[in-house]
Amino acid sequence: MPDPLSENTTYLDLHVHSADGSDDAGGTVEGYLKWITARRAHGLRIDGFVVTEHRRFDPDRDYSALAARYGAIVLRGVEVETDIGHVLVFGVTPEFLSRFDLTSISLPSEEVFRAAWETGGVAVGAHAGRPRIGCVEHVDERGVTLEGVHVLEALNGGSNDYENGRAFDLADARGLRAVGGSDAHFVSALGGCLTRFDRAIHTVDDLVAALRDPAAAYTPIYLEDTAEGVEPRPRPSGTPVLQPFSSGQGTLGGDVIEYDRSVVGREVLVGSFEVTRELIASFCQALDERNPLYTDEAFAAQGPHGGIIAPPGIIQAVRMGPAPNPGVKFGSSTMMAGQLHEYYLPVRPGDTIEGFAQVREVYEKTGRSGRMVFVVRRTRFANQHGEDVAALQTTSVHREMRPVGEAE
Amino acid sequence: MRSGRATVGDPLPVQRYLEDVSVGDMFEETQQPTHAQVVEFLDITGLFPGDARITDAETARAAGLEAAIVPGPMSASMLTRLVTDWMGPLGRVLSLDVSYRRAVWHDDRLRCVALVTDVNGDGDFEGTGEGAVHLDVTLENERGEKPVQGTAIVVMPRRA
Repeated sequence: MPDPLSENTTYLDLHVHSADGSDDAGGTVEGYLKWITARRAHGLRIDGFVVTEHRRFDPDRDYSALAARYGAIVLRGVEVETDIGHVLVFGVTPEFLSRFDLTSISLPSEEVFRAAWETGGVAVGAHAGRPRIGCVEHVDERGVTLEGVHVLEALNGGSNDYENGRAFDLADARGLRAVGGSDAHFVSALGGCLTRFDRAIHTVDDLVAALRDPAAAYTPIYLEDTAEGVEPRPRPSGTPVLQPFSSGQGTLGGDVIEYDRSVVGREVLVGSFEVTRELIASFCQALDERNPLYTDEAFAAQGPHGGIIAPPGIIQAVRMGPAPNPGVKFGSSTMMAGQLHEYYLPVRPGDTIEGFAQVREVYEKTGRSGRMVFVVRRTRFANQHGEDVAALQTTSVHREMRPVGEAE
Repeated sequence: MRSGRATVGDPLPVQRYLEDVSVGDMFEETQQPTHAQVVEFLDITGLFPGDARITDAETARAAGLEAAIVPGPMSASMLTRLVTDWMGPLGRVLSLDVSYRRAVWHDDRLRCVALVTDVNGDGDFEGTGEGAVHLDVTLENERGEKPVQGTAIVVMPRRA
């Protein structure tokens, strides 16, 4: 195994989100490190990664000791949101932090790139080919000049080939450097795209020095192409193909969102429900669920619970009254963005389940569809014995949506 | 791979044990939520009353979606099924954390993939002798997209 600390080549994934700081990420830093170990065992080369959480940078966090246990490097940067899309910043200093409110979803991009450079760091246009949140579209449609931009993330693990191809085309046309990052939110996506540096990178200072140096040798690469003897794939094409659907609508900023703050954090009883054998059978049928623990009384009687239990997902079939509503005044459409299920005890036929719901949080960010406002609700489910059996935390997103096919 | 209704004589789910699991292990199955199943799911859960984006393609398109969509809780339940199918009857699901990134359409044929990302093999889960296993779980459609991604934590028994 090559020791990254003694090599003259370093393979770094420059764009990773973790559950420590990104609302939509499921991967933990240690989970990523274990995944690196597993990938290395398959002959792939990855020396480390940079944690770039969305819209936040905790100056006191340090993963170096943890990383050293796995013989890897874990550095930190941040992914901020600007008027030309998302931007990765490496070499984040207190001075940089003092100039911006990182939670803003429409920071002035020219100032972000300039401030990063002036404070000794470097800013990189993230997933440059992605609709709305990458800079290519802003260059094409609004003639944005990319003043002060030196590097684009042209190979992004969350973008498709066409989007990445567009990013490479822009980098070529403007004489910009290109890097790669996985944009991993989950462990198994780590390193899918990364950057090969032809020098040793041990620290953020090393990374920033390389990215600021016009003569430094570095290139984006796919993880599979790091195996010995593999010929790297050509970069993806930016030639238009039949484009996958992209909602590409809405703006990246606007007025402060109005909502009722008084409901946040107040838990209320929203209903109760009896779980019947019939409900369990219908639920199983809707999901083609054939696990005999849930469907076969004779089998289940011999099993760990001494009888049929409900599939864990049954808590979603527990009918409840309306959850507390913060009355967000934004957007034409509401969709689910995420769900966290926690299961504590089995649910059995005959159980009476009560639900207690609260609004946990309201916040905003930007994505392919422009500005988005998120509402996080949590419902706790208790049985007739007063035991908590499960909890369900649901994040819904408010967006502006236009009918499909209607011009912008 | 399983599709269609349960029939007599289906094999029982395989029991997996902690000792047999390692980081990088992959398990996959196919699930295909039909329009009829979506309607059934809505009927029994009572979720999203009156939201025709879930049942009617025209309404969905008028709301900026391309097709009638499978509701998020149903996608989450498909991921739960993936996990319980993988681990076997003696395992327990502790948590499932799901991120909905794109819409799932009715009748989408979904490749459901579970990847082991962590095995707490030397741990003793709450004094039970069992161990916690972390999985990345994904629904992948035939358009090459991964509309639903998440993580699951399960507790599995030891063989001994």
